[in-house]
Amino acid sequence: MEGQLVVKSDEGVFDGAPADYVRAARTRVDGAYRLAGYLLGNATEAEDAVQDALVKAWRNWPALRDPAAFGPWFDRIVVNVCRDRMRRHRTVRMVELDAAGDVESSDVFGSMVEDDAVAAAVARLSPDHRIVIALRYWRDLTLEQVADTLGLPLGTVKSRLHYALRALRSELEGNHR
Amino acid sequence: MRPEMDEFDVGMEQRLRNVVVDRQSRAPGRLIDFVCTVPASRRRAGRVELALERPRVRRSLFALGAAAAVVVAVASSAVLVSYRYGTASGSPTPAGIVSDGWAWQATDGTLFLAASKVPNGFVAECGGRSSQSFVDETLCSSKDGLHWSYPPDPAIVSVAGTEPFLPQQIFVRKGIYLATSARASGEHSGPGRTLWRSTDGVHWAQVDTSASPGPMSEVNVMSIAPDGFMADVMMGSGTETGMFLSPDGIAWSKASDLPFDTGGAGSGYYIGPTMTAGLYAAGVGADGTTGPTWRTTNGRDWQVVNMPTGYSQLNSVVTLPDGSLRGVASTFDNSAPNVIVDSADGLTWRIDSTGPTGSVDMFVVVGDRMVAYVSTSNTGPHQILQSDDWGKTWRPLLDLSGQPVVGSVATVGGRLEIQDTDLATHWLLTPVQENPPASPIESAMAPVSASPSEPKTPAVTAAPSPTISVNRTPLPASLTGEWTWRQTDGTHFAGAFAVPGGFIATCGHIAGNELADASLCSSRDGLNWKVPADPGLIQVQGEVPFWPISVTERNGVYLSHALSRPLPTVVEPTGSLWRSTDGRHWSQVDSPALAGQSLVGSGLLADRFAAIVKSADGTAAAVWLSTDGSTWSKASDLPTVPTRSGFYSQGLYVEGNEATRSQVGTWLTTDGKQWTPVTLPAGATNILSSIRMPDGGFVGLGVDFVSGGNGTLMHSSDGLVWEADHTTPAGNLFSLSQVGDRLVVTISQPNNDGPYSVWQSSDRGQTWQPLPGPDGYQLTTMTGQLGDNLSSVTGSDAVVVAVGTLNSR
Repeated sequence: MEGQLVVKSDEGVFDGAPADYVRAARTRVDGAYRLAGYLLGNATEAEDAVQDALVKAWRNWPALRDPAAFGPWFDRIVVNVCRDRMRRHRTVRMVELDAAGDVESSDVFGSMVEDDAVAAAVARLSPDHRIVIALRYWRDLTLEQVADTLGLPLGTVKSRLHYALRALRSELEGNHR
Repeated sequence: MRPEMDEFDVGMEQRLRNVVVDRQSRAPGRLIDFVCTVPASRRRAGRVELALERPRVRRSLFALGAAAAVVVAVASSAVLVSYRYGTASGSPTPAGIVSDGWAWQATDGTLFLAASKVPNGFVAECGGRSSQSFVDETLCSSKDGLHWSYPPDPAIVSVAGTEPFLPQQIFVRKGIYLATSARASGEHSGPGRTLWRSTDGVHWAQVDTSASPGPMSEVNVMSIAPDGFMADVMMGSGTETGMFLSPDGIAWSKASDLPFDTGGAGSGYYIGPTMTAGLYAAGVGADGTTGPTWRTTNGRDWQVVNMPTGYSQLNSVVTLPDGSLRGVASTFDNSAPNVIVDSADGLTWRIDSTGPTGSVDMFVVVGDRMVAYVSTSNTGPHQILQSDDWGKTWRPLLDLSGQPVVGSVATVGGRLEIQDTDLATHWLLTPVQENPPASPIESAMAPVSASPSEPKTPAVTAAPSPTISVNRTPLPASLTGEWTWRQTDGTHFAGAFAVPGGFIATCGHIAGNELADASLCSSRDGLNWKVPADPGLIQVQGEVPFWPISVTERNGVYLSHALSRPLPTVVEPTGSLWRSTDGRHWSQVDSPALAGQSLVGSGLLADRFAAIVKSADGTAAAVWLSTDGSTWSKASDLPTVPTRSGFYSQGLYVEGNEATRSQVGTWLTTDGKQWTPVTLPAGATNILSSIRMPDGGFVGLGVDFVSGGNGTLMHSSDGLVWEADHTTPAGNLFSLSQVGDRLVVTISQPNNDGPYSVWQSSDRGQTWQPLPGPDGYQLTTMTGQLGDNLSSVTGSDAVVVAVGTLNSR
């Protein structure tokens, strides 16, 4: 099984993914998990989102001509998956699971939203505004890297960031009234 | 204008950077493991890892398709067991609580996903909850969709196979049930599924896909093609994909390649989950963007789909009763809200300008309601919106306490399923008319036993009307002129026949040209139907389904021509002969004389049972007679191999045309032995209806199925020579019935285009007046007769919605 990684566990043997895919993906999983956590504000959601992104990345792996470009390419997939989840699931999570209290203790991302007014205000922004803020300030990417990740012109990123900050200002001022 | 940063922005940047973010947070170990196992994960013993679960909503999307394929209206008798908002008091009613046109019923709290209707109940995946995820899934069953059991009830589902059976899509075609099943570890390994088959919807066996045309490793998605099942299949190790066709679910052959480069194993593409409009597929580029969308309706040919500008993906697609399509379109990167789109042909889509505000994440049709799952803001909860005017206006779906409903939506068994956000609380909502008639209707609808003197004309099954008739107005029994109308329970039934104590029919729903999920059903009043049939009215013993298309009675013996494949068509069907000595207990006739031949019709002729049979090779046909329905003797060879036949009071008509390469013409026999050519007016080659008038003579409906054209009202004094009457309103004469002294016709525009209208005549068809329907409801089609004095009326979705009684009779 040349070029294939076989992972053994106590429950069986799994035919695995191409080794280069595994290497590339494993190096990016932690960062992708954090990015998803920043965007979604919930550890479980982040975990599921990264899982989705891994599936998408694996499906498209044969078409990725330059494995070195895996990083921003995978981040873009993560962002898209999270954007989708923000639209679909965000409030469902907030209402029910917080009430149940079964994930709070270990959810660093949930705590971030709950404990910090700015983070909470970011959580109320539109997905696109939240994405650009998370990439720029929490993922510590340069504007050029943000543009590369999102596949947008640099000017668009600057503009979007500007309006995201304005929206954030409005959110925070609204909270103080 | 270039945006400039001000002091606030600078300060905010710093505040953002100071947000307490754990920049060292590591991904859970199971996520690292998932990297290695994503392409080919296998079931693990015991509990499935949380991280290996595919998101639930996506699975629900596939479940929609499964439900749509087998949906059938359910007359539920389940008990409401719990209420979310504490509004329950006293004993709940069996039908649940009615609110805003919905009857609410809560389930027993079992977690289930991907519920599908099967003949004897429902099947689904049941499991447990770990945080937000669904785990430990296992096959389970329910008789009513409310109370679930696992292991499943073997009377509902019984499985033989090496892998778990967790059905995602179930299709039925020509009596064959075919299902795709998720691999037990969930959907995380991709959409690949195993294939399962059943001939009764109860006993399932895994299809061996290891042989010809090669080992099929995964079935991605499946649908119905005109000549069989079609499926997107991955072969062997995944080096080849394509659309495959099978007439029986066992033998498969490749029909086409996917219309885009899949790039070999594992490359991305999706196939939209649509059941009635074909399959949609699109390639996905290396950067994850979606290429052009394609559609196939037969598995062989692909057409490019024109999407609205800016929208690249077509998600769920549903068919409305008028045949038009609605779907949900999205952009790949969700840069714009998902929108509802509509199309007449499935190839060109435009944005529905009246769609709800917000991003539509899911969209279903239940009864005459459209339901959308919509996110309207980034912070507010998803809303569930409903429309009862086919999308023109939308309003929230409220729960029993008047609060907006939360949770995801799906359809199952003709009902709307709402899964609350706790995953454990399901509601099944049945669309109902509010304020139903207070008084029992049974007494006014006493069934009439089958008459031994007048053979019953097989009920003409209505073609779907192209117009949508929507009316949420309560429909009590209403007196409209000389007619009294009573509302049915909304079950779709075809070919209803009187038996002692009630009626029997075939119930199901129209899917394309077939009656999908067909099942023998019964009713004691013609209004409320039971699926499966009430054993107090009918019990059947036989190896094939019993779906009657004729029932005749002679001296206390009942004979039925029944199909195992009900089709709403007047084309001569083949089937089997059934017999009963009490009208309740039926068994298949085992006659050596008829063995090896195809039964194409039965009725009464010259006070004897008559059967029309074709030879096995289809080159000859004969009529056989019997006095008891068991012992048969050949009366004569037919003058033609018939394409159609009809038993009426004056005798048996047969028609032959070029299609059978036999003699062309129409003949009548009154005794089964002598045949006389029939003279028909221009535009008619066949007699679709013939009614003996009280003063002698006949009025009939002549049609020409080969060349098309409008139906012709005609009359005859002897049943042999017919002359056209040109008295009916303009349009195509679609059906002719008699109720009391009234002739009733359905008129459509030429070529059966709508709108339809129903007319009556009390003077032998010399003059015609519109037949008034129940208050506030537009009659569309007469579908046939229930007993001697009742006629049924169908709405545009081919569901019989009301039954009329002629008071003056």
